[in-house]
Amino acid sequence: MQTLALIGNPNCGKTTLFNLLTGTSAYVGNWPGVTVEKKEGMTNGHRILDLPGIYSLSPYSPEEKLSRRYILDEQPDLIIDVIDATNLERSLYLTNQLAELGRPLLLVLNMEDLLEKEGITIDAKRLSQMTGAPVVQISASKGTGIEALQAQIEKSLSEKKLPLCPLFSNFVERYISEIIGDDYLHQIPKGRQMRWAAIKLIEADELFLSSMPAPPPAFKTYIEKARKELEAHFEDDPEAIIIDQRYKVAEHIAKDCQIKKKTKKGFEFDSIATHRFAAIPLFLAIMAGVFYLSIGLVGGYTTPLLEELFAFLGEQVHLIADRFGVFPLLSGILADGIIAGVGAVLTFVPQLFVLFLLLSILEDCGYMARIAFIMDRMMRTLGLSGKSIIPLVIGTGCSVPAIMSSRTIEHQKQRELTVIVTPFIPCGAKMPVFALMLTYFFPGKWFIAPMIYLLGIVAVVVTGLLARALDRHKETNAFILELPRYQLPSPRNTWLQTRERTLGFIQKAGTIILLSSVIIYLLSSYSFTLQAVDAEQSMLAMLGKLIAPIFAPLGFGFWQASVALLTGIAAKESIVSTLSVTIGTANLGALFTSDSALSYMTFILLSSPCIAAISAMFKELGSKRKLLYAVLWQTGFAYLAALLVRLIVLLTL
Amino acid sequence: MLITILANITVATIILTLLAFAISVMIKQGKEESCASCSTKKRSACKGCQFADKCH
Repeated sequence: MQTLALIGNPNCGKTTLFNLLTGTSAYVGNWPGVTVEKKEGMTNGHRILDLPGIYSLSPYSPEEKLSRRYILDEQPDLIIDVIDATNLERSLYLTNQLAELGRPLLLVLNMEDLLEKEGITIDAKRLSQMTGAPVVQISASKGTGIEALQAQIEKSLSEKKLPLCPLFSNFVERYISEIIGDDYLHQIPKGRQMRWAAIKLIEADELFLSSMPAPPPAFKTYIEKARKELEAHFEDDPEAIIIDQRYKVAEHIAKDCQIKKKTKKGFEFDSIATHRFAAIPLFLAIMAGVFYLSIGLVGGYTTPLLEELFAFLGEQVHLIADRFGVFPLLSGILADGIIAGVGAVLTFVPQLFVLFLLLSILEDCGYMARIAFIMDRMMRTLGLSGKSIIPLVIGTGCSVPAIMSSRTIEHQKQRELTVIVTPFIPCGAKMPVFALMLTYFFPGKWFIAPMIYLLGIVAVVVTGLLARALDRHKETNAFILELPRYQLPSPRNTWLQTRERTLGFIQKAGTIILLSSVIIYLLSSYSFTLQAVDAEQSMLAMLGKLIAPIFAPLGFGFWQASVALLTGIAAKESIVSTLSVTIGTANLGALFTSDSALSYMTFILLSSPCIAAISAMFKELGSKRKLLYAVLWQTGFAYLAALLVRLIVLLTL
Repeated sequence: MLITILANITVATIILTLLAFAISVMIKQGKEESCASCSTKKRSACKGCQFADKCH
């Protein structure tokens, strides 16, 4: 079995191609940085790997380290370099580095369908001649050129033809040749090429140097002299000289192989979408539209219908159970526990389906990356990494993968801070709680929904500023976030994401919500002496009343709300099922008021996340003490924010 | 009397089956170390699977 490695710049369509070749449905995002680990699959009996998107093989980021280590150590039989055909010159920079690795190379010009639109013509034959690697043109998103690619893969695997190494200026080449001629280079680890090693010695690549034995003094002196002479000649450091040389080669090849027609530029949506002042209001307006469509329009019709359906189902179960003399305990568990609890959560499925669908469309069309771009500037001033935006965007779906994705952030403090602030972004599980409160207390006021996102962002900003003020060793790092082009969302990708999120939600209703509903029902029906009692004298009420006074200043100092918060630790959707079992969603108005409902929403939004997210936080923070601080900060911040929100509402109304 | 016993057994069985199913799925998810947000099917499109070490 032979091994193929898919490699290329971020967002050039590697994962889409990987899915086409392997028949899998790995997540594809229209933004860079989706793949942070290698993925494996099979195509035509060959093993194929999808490596993270990288711009170079310099070992700066974890993605670059992973890709470089894989290619050098695992020696794939064929490197498939996926090139964004509309960005040929930039892509060829990586191609030049891949050519130096001494493995057969196949260039795949992806997005050929966009070339005409962009006024670009590429001479594939010329490109192949100049790089010494076969070239195939495809469109992974449209699925064209895949057969030709598969045929070329087989041909390249049998021919095992090596690409041409890019040649630098004579002044640099002289030193490379002399270094290659030295005996020291025979000690390079297996699989490394002499020329590649010589370049790494000029660059003083630490990762490479650490894999080599100490050089003889004469050779060491020669390398130092070479570096100094290069510095003097080019007036730059050797690493930058090599980068410049590679770009020159890429520029030369691109100039020779492509013709770019100047296209007239009309109105660009990005002039608003990424505008310093207009971007955030536009984002809030778009989110308001998303919430209006999902929670307002769809939810407005479907939620009452489904509520009636589940209420009817519960009544019928009671009627039938009474007729056949079923124990009240059993019929109660089934009707008032399972049907009421699970049903309360399931009533939100249609509106969440629409919400997930719209969020997937926003992400797939490239809009979410614009938000990332806007936030990137802010993130760095807050002491967070520019990369922190990736977890924050993913966090709109679920905090668990979002927290996990923070591991691509190099600096420990920035990574830890990102882990702590990610749960502030409202996840899909919190949506039913917000939808419930908005439906009952703020009908028609859909502008409140995007304010939840804004509040989450404010919490991130405040925490970031505070952490930065306390941090004596401020870390900064550059993060290149490339804006993907706007595209029509792929129906397959959008459907896959929406279906997966919705099914995940339904599955949670059938598992953890079901279990917690039964437990809540039992605890709310029995006293500590196991006597059937009214809810007010139940075990649950006793437990709830112990902690309820803490929340009295926030306006929800009654045991039902406190207990719902506790069950929310298992899963945030449990809050809805618990309120449904203990109060009944139709009776929320008897205990909550509009100010306490807003304060309750704020507390749920910002307080410590569910147990799955807490365990992900523990994994990433790696310390119980840090986790405790994080949870205390989140909960304390949530308490103060909820109090502030309530005071503002009380003072303004 | 028999009908009452059968009705009680039926309701109890329904409840126990639902609970057993819920627990088994949660145990399965726990063993797979999935992100608790996605289904347990392979080839999941959930984003968590891109980041979790052993998720699917």
